[in-house]
Amino acid sequence: MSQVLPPPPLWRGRSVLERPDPWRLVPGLAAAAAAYLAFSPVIFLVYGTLAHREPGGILFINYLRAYTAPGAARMLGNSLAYASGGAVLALLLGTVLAWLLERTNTAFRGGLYVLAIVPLILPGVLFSIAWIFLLSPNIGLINMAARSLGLASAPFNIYSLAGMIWVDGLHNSPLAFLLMSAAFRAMNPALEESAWVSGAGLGTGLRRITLPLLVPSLLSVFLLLFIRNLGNFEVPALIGRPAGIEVFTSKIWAATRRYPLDFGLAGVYAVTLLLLTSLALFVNSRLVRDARRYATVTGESGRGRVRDLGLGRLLVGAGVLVYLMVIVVLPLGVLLWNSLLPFFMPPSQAALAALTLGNYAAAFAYPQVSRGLQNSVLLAAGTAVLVMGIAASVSWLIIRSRARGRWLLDVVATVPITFSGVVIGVGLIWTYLTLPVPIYGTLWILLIAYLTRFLPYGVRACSAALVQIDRALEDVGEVSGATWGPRFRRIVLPLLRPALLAGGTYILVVTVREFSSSVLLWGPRAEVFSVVLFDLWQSGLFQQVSALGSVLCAGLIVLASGFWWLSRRHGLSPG
Amino acid sequence: MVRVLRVGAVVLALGLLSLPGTAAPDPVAAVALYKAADRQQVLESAARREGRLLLYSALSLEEANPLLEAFTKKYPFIRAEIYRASTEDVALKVITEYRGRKYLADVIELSNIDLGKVQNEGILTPFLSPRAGAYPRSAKSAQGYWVMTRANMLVAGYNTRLVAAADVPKSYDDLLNPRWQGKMAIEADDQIWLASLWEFWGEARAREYFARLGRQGLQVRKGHSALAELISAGEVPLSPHVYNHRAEQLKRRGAPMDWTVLDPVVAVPQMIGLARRAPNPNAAMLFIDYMLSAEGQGVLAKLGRVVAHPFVASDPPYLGRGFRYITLDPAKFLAQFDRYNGLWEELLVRAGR
Repeated sequence: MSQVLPPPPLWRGRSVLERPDPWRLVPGLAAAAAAYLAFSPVIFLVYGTLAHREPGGILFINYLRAYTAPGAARMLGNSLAYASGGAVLALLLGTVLAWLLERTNTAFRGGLYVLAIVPLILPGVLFSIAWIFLLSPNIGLINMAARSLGLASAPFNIYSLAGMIWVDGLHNSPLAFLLMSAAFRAMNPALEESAWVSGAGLGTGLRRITLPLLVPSLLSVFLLLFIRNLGNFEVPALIGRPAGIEVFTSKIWAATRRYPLDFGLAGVYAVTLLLLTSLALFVNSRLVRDARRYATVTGESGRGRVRDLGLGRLLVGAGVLVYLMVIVVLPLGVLLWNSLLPFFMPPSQAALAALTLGNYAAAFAYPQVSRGLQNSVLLAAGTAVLVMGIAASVSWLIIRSRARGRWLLDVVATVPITFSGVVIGVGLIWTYLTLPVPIYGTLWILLIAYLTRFLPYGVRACSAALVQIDRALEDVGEVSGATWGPRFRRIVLPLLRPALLAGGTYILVVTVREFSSSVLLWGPRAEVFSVVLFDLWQSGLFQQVSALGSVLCAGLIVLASGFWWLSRRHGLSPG
Repeated sequence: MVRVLRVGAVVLALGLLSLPGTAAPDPVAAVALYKAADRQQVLESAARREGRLLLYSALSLEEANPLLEAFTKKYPFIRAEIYRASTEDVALKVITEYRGRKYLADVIELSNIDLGKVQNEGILTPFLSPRAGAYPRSAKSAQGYWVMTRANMLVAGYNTRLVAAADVPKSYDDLLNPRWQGKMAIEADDQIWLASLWEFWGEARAREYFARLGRQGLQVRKGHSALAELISAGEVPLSPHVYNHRAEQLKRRGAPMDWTVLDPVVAVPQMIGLARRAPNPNAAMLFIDYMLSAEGQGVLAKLGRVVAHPFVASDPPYLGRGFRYITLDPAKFLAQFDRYNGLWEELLVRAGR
């Protein structure tokens, strides 16, 4: 590692030229932390799958057992169908919306941009629960409405593969929307305009120019969503398991819940999932590299010509409204409605008369709830600060230092992006049951899980910002005789502030939502909010879950809009 | 470099000193088996120093919190907390923790099956509680590892709007009526229900019965409490095995739900045990005493649970009385778990899909 670091290694003493500066150690420590976070769970995961076997057994016995188990092929099929189905739905919705927003004058564009972000903030646990309340065969409000209109049986059943894809696709559609909007903006509008000028109709222009240009972005966003879905555990836990549809994450979870303990099996599924996501990410990186051939951003940019939809403007606007209803109003509404009921009732006179705030009182009286909330906030703040701190130093090493082996650090800092939450969970259980570090079942292991999961996002945010900052600014500091510490603190960090704030807020929100690592790693007195929600749901306390969920959603939305307001006031770019 | 080595050596030595096995007589066992006349005073003054208690249990938070509050009222110097999850999960949690040499649990209260797993792993230690004397021999371990605190009675639960009074099943055979095709749900991991009836009826009758039941197209839901909630919501019209205390609770809140006994009722006893390396053994013993006392059992009964104390009636009493019930030997069940799990999957779960 000594070659990577600009300052000399600590055991060699100080260089005579530089004044003593403990800050010099920071980049090295940050790099070491990133490497430790990335490698320890994987090493112990792989080791565990080989070591957990009968003495004298075959080395790969766990792999054999896992792959030959009945239902393994079906599980793989389900996983792929679910992950790609959800990705396609999200991509379809996101691309259409992005096109409408970027290229047409459809009605309600402003509302679309603001409201579409809401599902990004909502925890997956709550989004899934809300849709169960809407589409469950008998108690789902939409199904009830359909039956009251004269349908003999419920038209929808959320407990199915289609139901899983629906919930997941909707939940991810705003992400696809944001990414595709960026792709549209990066596309040189002149190409589309020339088609327009040459008299090509809307359809021809779309088919011959816009779509072909978008292909790399579409594929790349698809793969990104696919990877996310493979690692998603909220939907498989809440909807997939009751329906008997197993995917990788739920299989891993189930394997850690067997008696006698069978961590070998859980590990094999986790390693396999890891390989799958790595493969998808590898394909994606190839794609992005090849995408240069499609380079269409050529200095000249700016918004494409806005197409006037004429009267269709209102029609399409109505479609946008329906979409916003489906992703924001319905889920939040059904949670609020349920939170006020003494037990599940369809909307009626009797139900209105029975409305009560009792669930809020009961739910917030649990000491577990307030402690879970406290822990979640504490962990989120800690994760955000640490991630952005480590990320700033690591990105500086990658982008700015002249050290050899920087590319390796780049890889190390990006690797955890392939770890889904469940994989990190299983890996860390093993790591800290093997290592003599007594943090299993405490908040510390959760902190480590969150750092591992979210560090790559922090590094991306900081690297992107650093690239845009002229090196000369730092050189001025160096010429004026400032050592690394002051230079970093007084020049780099202030310049990075917008990126640090934006990245930190993002990490704050995703950490509060985090479920799939937490559910494996939480322990006594170390519960976090998403796990408390899940446990109350499993105990059948649906109304209290709704009450807590409503409050949490309100809080997260206030937090996000506060950030949005702040960033507009200070002229930071949001996102 | 030398300094680094020296520090390393000290750390290693400290680590070795704290290894288990080198310690003197087990302090937890000493507390657990103490039976002199001053027991209560000794426990209380030591518990005062401990100041904490961590209970591992599957009691839902709705019930656990009032129970712990009542206990803390009696011993205000103990800060009692609970780690709660489903009974299978709690068992696996404590087993994993003990493998990782992480000793947090003081008292463990789980179903006989899951406490059986914990006991198999050597995590329990025998205890003597003067309160255990009132209980019949069948309700406590011969070696003193556990005492029964309550029972979950598995009865048929139904939605009163979706099931007419005349159609309410009166026996297990009534569930095979074509009327219930696609209308019933089972809990995802209730192998013990199948196993208990299997033992009771014998191989031939049981296999035929469950095969026919499976052909009724059963839905599967996770969690008994959730299942009861879904019945009262109308998501599921009928289930052959909900907890009667949970059905009664919902009925009292005005939900359209009721329950009925199918003979014989399968009872799943819940037991309490002491963790071998409990960090707060004195507080733990006070809590076990309390849970087994008429006072603690009264609190549980008032929360609507079916209690084990022979002289404390459940509330209402018919939750635990007036019907025949069977229980299964946990050792036997665990030894044959794979077989029962296979039957469960084959006959009921998979047949329903």
